[in-house]
Amino acid sequence: MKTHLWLLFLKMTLKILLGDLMKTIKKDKIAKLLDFLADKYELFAPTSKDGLVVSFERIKEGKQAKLRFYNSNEAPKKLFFPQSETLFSYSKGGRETVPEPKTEQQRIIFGLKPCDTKSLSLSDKVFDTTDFKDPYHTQKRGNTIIFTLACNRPQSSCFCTALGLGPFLKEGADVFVVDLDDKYLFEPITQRGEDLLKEIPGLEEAAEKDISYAKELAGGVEDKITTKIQLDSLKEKLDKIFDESVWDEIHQKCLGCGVCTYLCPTCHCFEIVDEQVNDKGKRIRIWDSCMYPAFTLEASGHNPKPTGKERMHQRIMHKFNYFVENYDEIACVGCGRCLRNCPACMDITKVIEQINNLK
Amino acid sequence: MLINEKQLEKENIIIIGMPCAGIIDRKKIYAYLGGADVKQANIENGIINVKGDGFEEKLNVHDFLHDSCLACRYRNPVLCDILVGDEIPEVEPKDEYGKIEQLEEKSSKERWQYFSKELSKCVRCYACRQACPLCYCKICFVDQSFPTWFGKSTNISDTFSFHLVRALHMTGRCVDCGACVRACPNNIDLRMLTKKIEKDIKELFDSEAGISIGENTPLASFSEDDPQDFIG
Repeated sequence: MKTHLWLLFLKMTLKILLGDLMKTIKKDKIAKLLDFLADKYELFAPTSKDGLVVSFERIKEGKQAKLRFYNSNEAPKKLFFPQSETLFSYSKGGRETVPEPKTEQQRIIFGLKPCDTKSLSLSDKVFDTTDFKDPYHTQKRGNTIIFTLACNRPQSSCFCTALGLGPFLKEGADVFVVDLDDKYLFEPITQRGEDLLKEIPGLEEAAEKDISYAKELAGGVEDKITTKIQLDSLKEKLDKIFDESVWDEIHQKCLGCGVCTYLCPTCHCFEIVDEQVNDKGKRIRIWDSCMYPAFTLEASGHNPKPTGKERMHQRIMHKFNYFVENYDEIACVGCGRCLRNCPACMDITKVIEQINNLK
Repeated sequence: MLINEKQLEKENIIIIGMPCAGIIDRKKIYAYLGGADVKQANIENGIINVKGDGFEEKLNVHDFLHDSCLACRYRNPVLCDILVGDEIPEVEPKDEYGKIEQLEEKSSKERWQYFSKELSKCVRCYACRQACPLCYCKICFVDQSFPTWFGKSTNISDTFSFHLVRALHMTGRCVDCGACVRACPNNIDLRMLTKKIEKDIKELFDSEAGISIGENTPLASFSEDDPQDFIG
């Protein structure tokens, strides 16, 4: 009983403290707030590339940001793991020096969706381990403050809740932002988020009704995501069907392009190439895709994954089996980009259902 | 085209064709609805009923067809052994080259700007290539690694090279099915390249791809009458 009371007391104290830290800003002042951030940091926000394509780009002025959007076409992983990144440059003759990656300016990403925010922690499992630390990725992660924008416009193709995530998931955010129709609510999640909020002028204390309205919104949005998939025993199931004939079927529709993997926030496979002109060259890391024939092509000419069947097998296994084996989490956040953009309308949730239904 | 290019033997295949009055362009609907999430749609008597959270719209099919379908002169199969359904009347396309003519009138600088902006959206997922019925090279030039023909970084000049070489490779072969545009996840209007080339081929060689068996492919055959103005 005593412990219970203590917990209650602790919970209330936390609530009061957090309540004090929560801020709001009127919507008509958000561009000014972003101007302030763009002045002090490298600021990235969703921008409109044409009527249909939204992309996270560097902005210099707050008014460039398009904060009412479903989600960006491309996953914002490109800001941490660019499609093409020069690891180092070299020139022939004399002694070779390979410089350390240079320290970059502090960055802010404003408006990342909760699914994409979560995807960053999945990439960390690959690029930032106790044994290996990828300096290019970890440095960008370290100097980037993330303002996650609660997702109040999920699409019918979204399925984050099926993965145990949600449109109001705060994991990975430094500041969590909620659109309250006429204003935005800011909740600091990390210390650096809290410190940054203190710097920003023009923020108002959040009222009790703002906080309760945000909670109300959260519940309503979660109900809008209706796709359910059974993932509990999927890993074990995949272990058992490694060689089953179902793989002959699953890939049939697939055209073998890289849309799903390139737009996926968690796909992280890459290739390293050297590009040299005369005596100056660069070593570049570029995205690669398990859906391409060249992905596993060996120097001898042998290809262990010669057809679409093996490639689809690799993609599904990596996300729902190998990644789980290695890191205890599924490499999917349910953003729905792969199924929205697949030219052949492949739906990964249906593939999982098909696998689950196997005897 | 695939038969003419000897990728298929006519005697080995039976073609089951069906008339097609056009495909609806989802992207045009999304653009019209301001990106809204369509949850349900059906077509009745030339009207598309689309429904989503808090909206319901009735749209005229004709206004939302793919650009390639609006430019189509062959709504019935040009070659088939079995026809499913009845033939439908052919329609003369309106303003088939409208967008291309507008682009042609622009200065080279403006055209460069247009294509730079459009192609900067490309992520080189190669969905256009994979969806194309006539891209069948066993190894695409961009995948060649020994020797490398093509830079792998996201340098815009490499992206240009890919699209220009692909467009040139399509010259006199592209049947304007529009599959590349439909496949593109980033909404790039690739027909601005292929349709322009189709127009040039029509004007220079009076030729149209994929209409009959045994037809000449202008860039794979030589005639003394071929236009030679470019030689100067």
